[in-house]
Amino acid sequence: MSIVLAAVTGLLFATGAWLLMQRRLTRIIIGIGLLGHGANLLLITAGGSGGRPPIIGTGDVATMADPLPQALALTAIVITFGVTAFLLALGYRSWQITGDDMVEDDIEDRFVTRRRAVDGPEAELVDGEPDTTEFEVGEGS
Amino acid sequence: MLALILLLHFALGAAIVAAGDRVNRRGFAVAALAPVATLAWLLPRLGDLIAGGSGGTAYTQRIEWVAGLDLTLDLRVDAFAAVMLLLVSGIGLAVCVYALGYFSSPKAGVARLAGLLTMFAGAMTGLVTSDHLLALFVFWELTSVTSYALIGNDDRSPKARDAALQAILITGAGGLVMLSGLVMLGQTVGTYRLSELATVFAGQEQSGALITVAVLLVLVGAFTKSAQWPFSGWLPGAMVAPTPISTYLHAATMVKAGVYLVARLAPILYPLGVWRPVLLVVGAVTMIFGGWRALRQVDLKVLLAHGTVSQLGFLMMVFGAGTYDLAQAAVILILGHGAFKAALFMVVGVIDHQAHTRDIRRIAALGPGWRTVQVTAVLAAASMAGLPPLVGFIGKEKALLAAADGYLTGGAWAVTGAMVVGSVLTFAYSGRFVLGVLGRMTDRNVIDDDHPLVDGDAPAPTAMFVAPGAVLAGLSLLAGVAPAVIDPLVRAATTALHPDASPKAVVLWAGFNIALWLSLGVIAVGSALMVWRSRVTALQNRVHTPISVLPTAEQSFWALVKGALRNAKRTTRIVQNGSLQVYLMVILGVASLTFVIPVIGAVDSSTPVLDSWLHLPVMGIVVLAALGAAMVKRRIASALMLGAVGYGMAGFFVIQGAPDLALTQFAIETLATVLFVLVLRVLPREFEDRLPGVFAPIRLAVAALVGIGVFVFALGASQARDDVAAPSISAEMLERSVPDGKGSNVVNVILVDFRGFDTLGEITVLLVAGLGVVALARVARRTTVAPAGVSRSPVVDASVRVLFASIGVLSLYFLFAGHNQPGGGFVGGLTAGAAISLVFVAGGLPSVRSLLPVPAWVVLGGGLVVAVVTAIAPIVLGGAVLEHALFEAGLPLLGTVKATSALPFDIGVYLVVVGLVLMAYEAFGQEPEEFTTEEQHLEGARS
Repeated sequence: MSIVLAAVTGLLFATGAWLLMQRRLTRIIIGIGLLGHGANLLLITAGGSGGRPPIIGTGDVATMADPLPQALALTAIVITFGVTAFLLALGYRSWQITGDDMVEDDIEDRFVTRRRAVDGPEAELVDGEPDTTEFEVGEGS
Repeated sequence: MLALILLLHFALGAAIVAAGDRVNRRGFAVAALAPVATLAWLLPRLGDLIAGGSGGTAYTQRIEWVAGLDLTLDLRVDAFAAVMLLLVSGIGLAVCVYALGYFSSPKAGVARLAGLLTMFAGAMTGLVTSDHLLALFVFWELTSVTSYALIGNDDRSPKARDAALQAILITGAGGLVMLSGLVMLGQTVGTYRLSELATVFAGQEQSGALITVAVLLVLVGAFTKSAQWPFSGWLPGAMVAPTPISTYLHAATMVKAGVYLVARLAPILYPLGVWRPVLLVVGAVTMIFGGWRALRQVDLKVLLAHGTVSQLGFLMMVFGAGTYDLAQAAVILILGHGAFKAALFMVVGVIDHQAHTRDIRRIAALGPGWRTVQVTAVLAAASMAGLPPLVGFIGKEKALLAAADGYLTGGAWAVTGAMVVGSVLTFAYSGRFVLGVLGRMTDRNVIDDDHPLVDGDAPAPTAMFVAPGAVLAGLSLLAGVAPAVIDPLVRAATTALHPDASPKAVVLWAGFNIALWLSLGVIAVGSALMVWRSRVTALQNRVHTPISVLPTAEQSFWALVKGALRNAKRTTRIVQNGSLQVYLMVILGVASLTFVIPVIGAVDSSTPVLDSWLHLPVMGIVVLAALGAAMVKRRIASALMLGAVGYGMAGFFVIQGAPDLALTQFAIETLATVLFVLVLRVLPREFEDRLPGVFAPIRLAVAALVGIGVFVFALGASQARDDVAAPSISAEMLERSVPDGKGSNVVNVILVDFRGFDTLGEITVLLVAGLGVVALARVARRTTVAPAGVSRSPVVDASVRVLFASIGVLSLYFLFAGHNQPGGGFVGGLTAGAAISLVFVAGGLPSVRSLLPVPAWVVLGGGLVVAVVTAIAPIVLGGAVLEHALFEAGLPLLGTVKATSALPFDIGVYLVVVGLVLMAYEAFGQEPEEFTTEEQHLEGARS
């Protein structure tokens, strides 16, 4: 890890986050792509410095790069591809329905805050004296 | 055995609730089985538990659950737990019998009450027999939940709902506070077992701030449960429950939970500086305030409710002091209180049932046949007032004597004084209760046609209805006259709490001592309060008028609830406003702050600026392309920039010594770029941003925060791996790759062997993604897909044929060589995907479809099937999942061929990736003129 690599990782995350907070699904997808790259860079650099390819028989094992972060990053790359394809399908569907790829506000969420909440004891709403019996007249006995 | 009884309570309760109105009031007869079972278990064991009053052997039962995590259910019954069990099951049985009389006519929801009551009794039984603090907490919360359901059983009454809500909010919140206290206590002391707490704690430094805080938190829980001031508001409110339920919950069980916990902890924790002041002050205030308020009531049941609050304060004081003398008094009092308070509640219920009122101003005379009820009321009230020869007198005498005799250092006289004042008030409200029942408190002003006077015309209750209360009152008298009956149990229970105590015998007449004089004083002053009761009432009203300006506990509680709801609404309006962008800003902002702060300390200032000069060009590409992707206005340009970032990353992987990654990244970027182009061609060329301007700076700030956070995190994280002393797992993977994984490409061996499960999961995700892509994109496709209008250029066609063949061969090479050389199923599959892209560019979707004889989803699903079969095949052969074997075979022409069973697994991976690519083309590959939005489609259908 070097400061330059850490800074590039930070930049990839920052630009990814910036795009993620946009209203256009296309930009959000590209943002997720950038975040994916940032994550892979973080995985590889946090896993130690580079070295020779980790293929047994091609040289001294001690000089080889760490294979584990590589395997993890490889998995991450492929999964990001799957996610990107899926999000693109979402964008495509959004276009089919609205002719656009705008992420609209959730109207239901707005309604939630308009709903009247219970503001206190319900019994206040019912007038009358406090009951001093649990029985109606003529009941029980 | 005890665990079975616990189980019986919950099973029986659930069965009665399920039977519902079909069994109706008979549910209580069934419910009685549970306390009977407890008693049948407990009574034969009492001898062992008591062992002549000197503390016998405790009964223990352990049920292992998860042995590895030390999760066990430990039940332990000593003499004190036996006292509690006697209350829970004895009064439980009485209540069940009583309820049969009380619910004389069938009424909806009665069976549910019986079932819930049984479950509640089970929770209470568990609470007093748990030896583990966390198990105790679980049962504690179970009592809160079941009591909530019991109080709110009449769900159509707003009052019942309010009372239930108030009860569960106060006791539930108290329970959670207590949980944090219990965990702190368990962690600092080092044990969660009540039976070990004393020994472990005794050997420790006892003045830590942590333990003080822990104890205060636990006490908040106990105070809320036992309705101590200022948490007492819920108990009188809970009187909306039917009287049998009130009898059980608030005379004998629920509220005793807090007292029980204090009783258990006091002998251990009283040396702590905060313990005695807090308990004695809170107890004294509760005792006096409760008594004062009881004296003002006209409703017999509410009077008893406030009386219970007062008595609980008294019990808190005597148990909380932590001396064995007072504890002995407390054991007598808790038994006595259970008996007399239950009897009194039952009397109130009988009167209410027969005369339809509990208002003492409306009772002039009950009528003939009420003698037993009146005697019961007088006896039980006398025990409450502390009159000889009842058990309440013995308990109170003992408490006053122990308090006044100087067993307490310092404020002994203040404590005694508080007890005396509280006792005077208790005497007075006991008298008020008796006078009310006997018809001496009538007030003509409240009598009208709707509220007639009860004047000797109340029908006499049946014997069965009166019996439970009468028996309990009789027991109060018996224990008073012949204290030897309870003496062994009381002394054993005291010893169970204070192992080194030598409690004196329980006697009615203890000689002329200070307690006797104090008692006589209490009786004299209390009687005076009764004789001049109209003046007392006037005084109370005068004092109460200025006080009533202050909010009551009830009002404060609801103000708090209202405030919380208002704030929740306000917060929701800001945070949950429906905008995804705002949600993300909040999430990203909070997340980056939380993971930055802990890492800042780990940042190593000696981190080099640059590892290798080779990084500069590739990182330069990445930076420029990333900034470009974030800023350009055109969609396609932005997607291409993203591709450029990917190519830069691939270059970086080459430098770092990760050829597999580089190959994967190259292939994927190519594919992804094609997909982007396919989708973006239908969308407008440019973004036009509609986000309001104010958000832009905030977005920028949040994005910057995320970037800085990750930067700091990356610097810290790089250190983390070097700091680990243990040998890296990767070293072992390098070492065992060839012997165990039969391959020399370690990355590939990890993917198909060491972490093969991971890969299996991953290709499943890819399969789902592929299905999702097609499902989403083609949900509105038209029935006929016209391949018409694809213009094919012969030159492109020919070159694609050549390229496709060679790239196809390359992809197969990657697949087969991958175990020992850079490559593998992922890389191979993606390369094949790139070849398919070429075909698509040349001939569109029809050409892609004609490549293979089977549809895309067969490839996708077939791949997963191949991988799964390879993974589980070794089981059939007697190996472990994903265990791979090496095969060698001499084939004609090819010579010796080595293959491992990892190959079919990798083929599965390969097929899934190819299938995903094919699916993507199925989804997005239609020609633009075939596209319609749904609106256009509908218009087309209409015209």
